[in-house]
Amino acid sequence: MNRRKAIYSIMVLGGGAVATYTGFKYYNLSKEPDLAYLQANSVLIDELSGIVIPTTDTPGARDVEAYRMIIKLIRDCADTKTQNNFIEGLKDLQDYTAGKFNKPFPQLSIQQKQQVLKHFYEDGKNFSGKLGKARNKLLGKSFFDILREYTSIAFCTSQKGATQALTYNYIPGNYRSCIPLQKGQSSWATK
Amino acid sequence: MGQQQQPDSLYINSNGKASVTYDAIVVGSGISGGWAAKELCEQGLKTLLLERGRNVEHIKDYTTASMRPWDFPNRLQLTKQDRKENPIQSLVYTEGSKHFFVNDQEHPYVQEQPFNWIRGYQVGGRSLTWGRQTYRLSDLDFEANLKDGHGVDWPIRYKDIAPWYDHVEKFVGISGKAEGIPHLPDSIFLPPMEMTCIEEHFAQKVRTTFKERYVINGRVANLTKGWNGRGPCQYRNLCDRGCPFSAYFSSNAATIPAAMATGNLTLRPHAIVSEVMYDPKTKKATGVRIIDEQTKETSEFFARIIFLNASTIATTSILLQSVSDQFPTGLGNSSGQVGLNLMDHHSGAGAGGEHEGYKDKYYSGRRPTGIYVPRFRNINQQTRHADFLRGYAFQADGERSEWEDLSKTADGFGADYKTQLTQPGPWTMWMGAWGECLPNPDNKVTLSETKKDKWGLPLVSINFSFGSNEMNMRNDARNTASEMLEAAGFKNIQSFDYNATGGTTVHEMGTARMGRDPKTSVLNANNQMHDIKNVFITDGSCMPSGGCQNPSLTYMALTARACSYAVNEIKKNNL
Repeated sequence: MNRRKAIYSIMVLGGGAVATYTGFKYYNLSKEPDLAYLQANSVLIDELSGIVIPTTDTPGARDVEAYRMIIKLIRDCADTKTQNNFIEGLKDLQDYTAGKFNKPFPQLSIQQKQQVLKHFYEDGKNFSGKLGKARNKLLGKSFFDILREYTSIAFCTSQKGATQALTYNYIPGNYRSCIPLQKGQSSWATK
Repeated sequence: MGQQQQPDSLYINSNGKASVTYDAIVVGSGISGGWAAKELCEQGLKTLLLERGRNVEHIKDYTTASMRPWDFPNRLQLTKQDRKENPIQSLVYTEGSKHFFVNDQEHPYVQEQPFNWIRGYQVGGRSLTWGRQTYRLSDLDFEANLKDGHGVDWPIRYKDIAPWYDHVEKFVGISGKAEGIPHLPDSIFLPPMEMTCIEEHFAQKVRTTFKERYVINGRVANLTKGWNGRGPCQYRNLCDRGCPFSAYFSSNAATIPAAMATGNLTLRPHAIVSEVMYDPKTKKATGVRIIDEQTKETSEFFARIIFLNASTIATTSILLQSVSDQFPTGLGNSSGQVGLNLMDHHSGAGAGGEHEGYKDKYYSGRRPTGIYVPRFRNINQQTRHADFLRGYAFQADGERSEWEDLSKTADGFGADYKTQLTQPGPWTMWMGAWGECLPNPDNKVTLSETKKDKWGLPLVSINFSFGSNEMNMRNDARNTASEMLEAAGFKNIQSFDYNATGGTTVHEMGTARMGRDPKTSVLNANNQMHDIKNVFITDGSCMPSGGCQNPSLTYMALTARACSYAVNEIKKNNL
């Protein structure tokens, strides 16, 4: 059982345990995050972003060097809980990878990388639903949700992401309120 | 605005009174002050327009207007520092518009109860960043206080203001559709911004299910065709950065250039008005004293008439700061009403949902408005609601989910996730109520007795909370929004009530109200102070009640009306 599963187990045990644990966890999440850890793990973040949004017939997260913006946004924009959850998640992920494959993440095959991320995706999913909502409010978003959300922001607001994977119209000039959607048409990059 | 007089030239001769005397002084260059300057200048009055903040030159100073998402260092995300240092202003600004909002650290105020006071100290004020929704009030609103006894009776009725709505609308340019709804009178409209497929669907279902409810195109001060040398709208939906196409109404784009073109306007930025000076012999105001924002030097300017348009709370603080033997509790405050009855609209209660239809439909262009459900509660005997007086309207928006939502709701990761992320998701509808707030003397603005700002002026202290009438209305709005979405076949309907903090709607009103009786109101039917005939107040502070409509259009109409009255009084030698 990894650390995350332990949290979940404690949370479903009952009031007293939850209160004790979350009090501890809340304190832990409010600590000054070790932001230098982000830059130090830029290779890992780059690798992860490419699994979340791969290159297909259009550019992916690695093609736009999304990791640079992920690191910047987590460092400058994310709240303290999100920062700590993301950093702790990176550590968990490396622990998990080492335990399971006995190799660092960047050296895994694509399938193995997907397998690792799938584990954290499922792990984050355990906290959806009603209990998940309460947990998110108290303890912040799961590592996977943070990774995916910031990868998506970094990608979709990049020039290539906005103009090649999405459709960016700098100056539309007119407004058409109800038109047929073309097959395979990508969505607008901005609202 | 390039031809404005340099501030220096005002100082050089400031030892001679003549050089700093104008026909009129307008305090504040926001949406109502811009109108006062335009109307007075066009009537031939040499007018000094004072603005406490920096100059913002139209187009030239819209520094972010042409930036693309990837041009922003933080990709339009707020920073931790924004939230920490500007906890109030960052509720509404973005990385693209933050330079049009004050810094909370530099401009503190006292919150006796939580109140979000959103401000833009610059030429153009909040007219640069306003929501641009424009709706007329009707006699349902002008008669409300008289009928239910909250607040004092408006000293005017719809017929008094209707020609002035016409007057300002012809200049502003408002897109919308005439509907003939008695309690939401039509404006003079440019072509409307059309509804999306899902909005059309919603409008039809609501119309056939609920007899008294309409769903109409948002009425918005964005130009759907070229108008008075401005626009048309390019559908970028980046209005709060300032529009390089002059396609929405602001003081900077419209009224100030018009005032400047007369040759009668002097614009003076960095001028913080500390008081209005009063002469007990003539019983008139003589002028204003200012503190230069940058040098902290004081100067005095004199004029025959003074228009206060500093915005509700700021105008109130100027009155409260202007004490004299005749007015020990504030200028023109013989009624004791200055600062009382602060109102805001309450917003942020409503519902949202998803619709499974119209998967083969989309839109192009970014429409800078949504749709509107006019008030349908308490408009007549049949629509009376037992739990509250007055009512609310919905602003709503039906659109397809795009990456910002899908990055939180789509499944998994990898190529499948990428496909979901980059293609239009389900149609969604969001609808939120904008509700009326009853005038209540306990909601008030005073001055701190101990705390001062860096110009030595007392801090404003705000004591405001929404009452049970507003809270009951919010509950009802959650239910009615949900039932309308349900009637239109929406799924996953979730109602919400996420922010009841006063000020958040940025519709402060009411602290120097108009009224019929000088004992219970500050201004008369022409926005003239009962106590001091040459002082006029036409910003939000004049409002005896707030309706539930977005109020700026009404300030504009009242301003033009008051200017016309003032000029006539000058001509008759009454001022």
